[in-house]
Amino acid sequence: MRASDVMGKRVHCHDGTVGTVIDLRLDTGLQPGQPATEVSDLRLDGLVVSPAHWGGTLGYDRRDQGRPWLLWRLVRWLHRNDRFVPWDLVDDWSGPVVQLDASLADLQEVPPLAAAPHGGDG
Amino acid sequence: MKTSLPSMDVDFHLLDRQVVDRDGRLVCKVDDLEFEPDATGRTVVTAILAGPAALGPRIGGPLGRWMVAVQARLRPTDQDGPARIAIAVVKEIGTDVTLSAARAELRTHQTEQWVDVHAIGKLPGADHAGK
Repeated sequence: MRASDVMGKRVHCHDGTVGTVIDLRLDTGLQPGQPATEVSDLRLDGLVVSPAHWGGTLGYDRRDQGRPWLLWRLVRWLHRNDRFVPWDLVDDWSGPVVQLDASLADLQEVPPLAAAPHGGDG
Repeated sequence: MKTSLPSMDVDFHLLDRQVVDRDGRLVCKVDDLEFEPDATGRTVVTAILAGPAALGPRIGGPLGRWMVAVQARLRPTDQDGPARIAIAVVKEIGTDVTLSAARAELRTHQTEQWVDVHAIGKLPGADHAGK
């Protein structure tokens, strides 16, 4: 599977459409605040799905980003209904839509990205 | 590989980032990522994909299909699909992606080399270019 196989696809669950895949979240296994460390792999944690499809969150889903305040509030408002879909809940991604084995009520808000220890983005 | 991020978003942190080799030379950009299930059933990143055959499907539409078709025509016969850099070769993920290999060891410029041999190299005067 490629990232492009799911990016931009509509996501359906048992009771309707969740939105569009705007990003894929990877888990490195590190703890927040931990200095740069060797990791063995990058695990696919889940999908970031947005019903608004107003593009990405411009990095405002990170804990340490809140400026400029007006833009931060605007992006947060546009993405207020974004949902995080754990990869385990994806039933089929190979078709024209991503089908979930879940209901809307099973999906949580997108957890904020932990910041890099020195404030960098990478 | 080394990183300081507990989690990262593919589009925000990886796609379109520069990939540099162990000597700091530009190799390519991250055009797509390849995922496979590992031995424990977890889906993990296995490779960075680069080149028109990786970027084309991301762009989609007629332009994306055209990019893939051109790459399929201008490629060596032994390489199909996009250039693939195994994730095991990635040394560090930061503001760019640093590899532990040298650029010459990677198969990321096959199309460029094909054009060099089959098109540029046949132009009059190409045999003494750079002299």
